[in-house]
Amino acid sequence: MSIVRRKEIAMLFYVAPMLFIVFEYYTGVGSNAASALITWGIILSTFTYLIGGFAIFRHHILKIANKNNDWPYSTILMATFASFLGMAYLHQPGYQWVLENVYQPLTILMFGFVGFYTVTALFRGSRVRNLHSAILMACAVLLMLYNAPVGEAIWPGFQTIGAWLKNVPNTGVMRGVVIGVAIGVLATFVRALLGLETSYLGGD
Amino acid sequence: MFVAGRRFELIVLCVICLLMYYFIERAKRGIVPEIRPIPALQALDEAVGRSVELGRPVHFSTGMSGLDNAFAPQTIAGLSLMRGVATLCGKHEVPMRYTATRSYMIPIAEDIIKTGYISSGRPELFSPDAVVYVGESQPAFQASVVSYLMEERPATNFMFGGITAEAIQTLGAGAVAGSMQFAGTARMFYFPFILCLCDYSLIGEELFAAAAAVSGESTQLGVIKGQDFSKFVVLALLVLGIVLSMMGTSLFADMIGW
Repeated sequence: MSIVRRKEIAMLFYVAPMLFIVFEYYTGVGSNAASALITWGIILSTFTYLIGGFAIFRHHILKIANKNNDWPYSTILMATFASFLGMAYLHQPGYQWVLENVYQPLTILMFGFVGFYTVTALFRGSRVRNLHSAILMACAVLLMLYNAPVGEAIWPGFQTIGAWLKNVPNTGVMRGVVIGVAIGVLATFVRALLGLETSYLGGD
Repeated sequence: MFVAGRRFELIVLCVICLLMYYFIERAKRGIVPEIRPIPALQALDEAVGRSVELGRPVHFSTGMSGLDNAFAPQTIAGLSLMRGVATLCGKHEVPMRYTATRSYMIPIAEDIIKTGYISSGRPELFSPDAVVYVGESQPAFQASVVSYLMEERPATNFMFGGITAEAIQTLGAGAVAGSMQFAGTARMFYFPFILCLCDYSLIGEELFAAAAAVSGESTQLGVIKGQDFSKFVVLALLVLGIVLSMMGTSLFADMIGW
């Protein structure tokens, strides 16, 4: 296998900077070099937008050429891309107008759907099938009453129960989860260091 | 030599790393640890088999977090699981789609899917359209995946990695579309959504354990054993801290701040 295609070389590019940044964090030696490494990483990741641009063009141009399903949408996408890019360089006020009056409202619209899907999740999660889900449901109702002003108006005790649930069992469990996650992250670090984890390089 | 206040932290880091290394070496020597079955991993074959029965594809995503931020280990765990799913898709001849939100994920995902098909002896199943890049914006990802889930109705929807708010919509749409859903993350805020919307979930460190176990290699199982023993070390430190604090000594606080 050619030396430039060897997996070990790619792994070295991943593991060596990672070890150096850990070394710098604990010793304070080479802080300028560590910052430079992070900046290089950001610059390199910016270049990867070229791959993304190529992938989008390839996907939509082929879709239009082959008249696949929904090809008119691909035409709209390409036209939007061209006009948005053109305006960014040739007509800044127009670009700003599109950004504020088209892009941002559409973005807010997408986030607006989150509420509906949260209700879907709540509805599905509200089915009491066993003791565990019954406890979960009871806690959810108590916490809703704790957070909603109407809860305190019904019975002030909801505040005490809700605060206890939030600060004692919830905090305890969350701290346990954080410890587990931190050890899991370390395990990924060790696996990457020993070459057991190579999924960031693609297939075998 | 070492930065004040971080020395004790470094010692704990080294102890945990050495523990994991020790258990990996033990596994290499043939002392393979027993780990409890992870239901989500056991159900992978059934999930891909369901796609065959329904004649519908499999969708996979690692969410918005890529490999260039603090959530990279979760994305890496997601990619490890994707390897396992891709191999099963090749074995059962099921089309698989990955939705990418980071441009550098395109070649990685293409390679994982292609390798999965090749390892199952079906390289011709791979198509460059298996990986769809939707841009780096969260609303674009949400719009694209929700539309795909509602129109194509994939039999199985996987979402493993450092997922964020996009999970609420995409998993919600998957549930409405009737997909069998698997999701996993170590981001606590999204645990309730995953638990409510998915058939199988991997929450917290389970994601990392599953990523190590999916290959079935004995050395990877050694890491999980190392993780468990590392938890004992942390628990011992917690108990020590509680005892010393109750004794009214600042020894533990001084040790941590060393």
